[in-house]
Amino acid sequence: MKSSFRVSGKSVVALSAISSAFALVLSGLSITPASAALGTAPVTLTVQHETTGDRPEEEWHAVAAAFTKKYPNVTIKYSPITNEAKGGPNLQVISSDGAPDIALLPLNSNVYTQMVKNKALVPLNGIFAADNTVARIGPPAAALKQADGKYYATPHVVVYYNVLWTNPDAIAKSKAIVPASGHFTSVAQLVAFGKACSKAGYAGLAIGGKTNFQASWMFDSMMPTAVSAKDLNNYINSYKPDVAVTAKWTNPGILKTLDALGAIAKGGVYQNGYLGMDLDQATAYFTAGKSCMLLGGTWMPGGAFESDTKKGTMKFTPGLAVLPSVVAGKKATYTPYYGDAFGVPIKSKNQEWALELLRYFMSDEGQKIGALDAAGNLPVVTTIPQSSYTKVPQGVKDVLALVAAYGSQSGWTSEVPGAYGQTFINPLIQKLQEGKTTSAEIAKAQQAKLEDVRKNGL
Amino acid sequence: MSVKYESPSKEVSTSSTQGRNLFSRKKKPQIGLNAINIKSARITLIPVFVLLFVFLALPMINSVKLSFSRWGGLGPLEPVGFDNYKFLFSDTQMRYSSRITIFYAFTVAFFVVAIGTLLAAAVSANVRGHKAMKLIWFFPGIAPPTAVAIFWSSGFQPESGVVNILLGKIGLGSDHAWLASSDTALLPVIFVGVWSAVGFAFLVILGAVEQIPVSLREAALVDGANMRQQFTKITLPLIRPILMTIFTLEIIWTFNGFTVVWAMTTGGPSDSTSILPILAYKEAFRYGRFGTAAAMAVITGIFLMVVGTIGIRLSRSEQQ
Repeated sequence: MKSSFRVSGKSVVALSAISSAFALVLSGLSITPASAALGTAPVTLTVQHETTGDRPEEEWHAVAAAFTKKYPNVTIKYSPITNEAKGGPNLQVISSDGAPDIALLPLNSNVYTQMVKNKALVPLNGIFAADNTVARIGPPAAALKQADGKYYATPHVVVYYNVLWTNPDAIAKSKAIVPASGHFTSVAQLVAFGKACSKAGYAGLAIGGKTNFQASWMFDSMMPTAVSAKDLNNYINSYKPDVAVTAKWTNPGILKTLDALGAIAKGGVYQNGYLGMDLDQATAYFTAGKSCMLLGGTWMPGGAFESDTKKGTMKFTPGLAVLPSVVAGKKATYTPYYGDAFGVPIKSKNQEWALELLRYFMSDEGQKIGALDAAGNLPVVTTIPQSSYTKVPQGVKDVLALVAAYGSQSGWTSEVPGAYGQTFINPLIQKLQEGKTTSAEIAKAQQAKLEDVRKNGL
Repeated sequence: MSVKYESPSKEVSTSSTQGRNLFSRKKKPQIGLNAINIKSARITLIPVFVLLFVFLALPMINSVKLSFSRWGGLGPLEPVGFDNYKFLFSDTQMRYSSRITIFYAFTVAFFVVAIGTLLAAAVSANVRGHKAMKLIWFFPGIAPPTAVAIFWSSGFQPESGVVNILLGKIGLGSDHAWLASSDTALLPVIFVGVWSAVGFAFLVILGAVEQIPVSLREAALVDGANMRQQFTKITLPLIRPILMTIFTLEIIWTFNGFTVVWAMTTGGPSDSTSILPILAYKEAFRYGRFGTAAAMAVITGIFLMVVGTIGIRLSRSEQQ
């Protein structure tokens, strides 16, 4: 019997168009199976992750379990590295013959700069295009694109730093005032807040001043309130020789921001001995109820706060506040960080499988299993509805609500390479906090550094 | 009465001229190296030289080469002549770090030797609890440096640190934030450096003190020397070569020390405790300037070679 089923040319075109559109939509929601070229031979992949921070271990273990269920021939091993190693000595590891298959790459570190410069990473354009990843990440993905048009690393979560966690009990006892909106309107208001806390026996704001990042964090949040958007964009990009310098570091906005940081330190807002404490020590200080506020981020509710509450050393539910603006009328914001990314080293012995794993890690399914459900973090892709954020701690959801209301602004130290940005300016701000240098001297030094980097490279 | 020995060659010739003689002296085995021995010695030394070349000379040559280059940690070296050295000699942080490193190394070495000597003298004189002292003082030396540094880093925190709590109890205040000020941060670091190194020095010096013949002390005692005189006139002069060696070694070890300072202060605040090894680490791994870091290592190496040479010479002259 002959079939009478016939399809016209127009129908073929229409069906193709509908199928393509459907496939495009589906590609964002689920991952297509690995190509047969990957084979079924046993393979062991090594994945680097940080030992601390936003629960990277839980995230990777959950994703790996799901991936190996799909591909039983794959075994995943882990290579944990410390916060200190990831931005420095790790370069020698991931560029060696013993490189892991998936490497941890802080985007503002010398590690990433050198790996990209020396073409030591496998381009991710293929897996990005397959799953529409750039569009799913949104505007922050623009910063990932290199001069050669390629993507070499992918962030996996977004964390917000410069979050002021408050201790409502200490604040109430101190009769200190946090503005109703949560925004300190001026440095003077924050200093007054610190003095009230201090009078009642609490530190105003606990910070880990000894770290190589916290002294400069506040600069990221406060500086955008003192300079124009155009100037901010130039500060972020002018280290590249092909971008003209239109905003000088000695401009009044920068000087005012640095003056504000100096005034906060001089005003006695921080805990005694803050320059000798790291962030863990400052966090413990806060959770023990010794300070009215803590400068931290969105990884804390699911991390230190949760564990200290379970231990019984944290006896309050933290609230939120936002750093003051430098110029009246503007509002400082929380600072998003997409910086701890992953990539595939060119020396990986299983590049195809590594790309497949990374692709799964970045798929909506992988992001939900790992970043969202296992680690309680905010996924970097925007295609997962917020109704799925069931495992995200309430404190983080509150941060998201403030971000939705007031927006957020990328931080200069997170955007530019550390050797030019954070690593350089952090000790200078520590000096400013000690009263051993001036805003003008720091601005001059940063301007000289800019000129040096533009002339000699990183 | 003098004894006259004939040379072996003469003896051979004598015996050959006199034929078999049961009473003639046997040929003595030759002492020293003849041609064959020299050859085999040279062959056996080859592996040593190869190892020395691979593990010592080659890295040194590479470091020197790197110090004349610009390198970010990956890719080819870019020769820059003396630029790295010029930068270092004009850099204020390098000058500051050199000063504090020398101060840190010499201060720690001085106190380690001084305390080690006093402890060794006390234990050797069988003061009360001398057996327990041997153990107690050696414990810090075997504790992992990172653990030591983390313990003391917490110990020096205001109010909650054990040092501040103790000071508070005796009325000296409990809110001292030594590690938080660039004026005082080096002091706790020196304290911990001495605390962790004194145990080893103490044991070595104690060994030297106990080598001094008892008869010397007894003779001094008979001559009316008191304990202090025995210590200054007999013990100290006799152990001086060991003290010199320990002093030199402590300078070198402390100068190259990284762990304690890094774990306590990470070189801060404001780079005030960035001793040269920490500065070199930051240059290489944070700034990606491996060439400058290598130049720093070369300068430091030369300085320590000079210190070592002087120390060895002084130690030898004391022995003579």
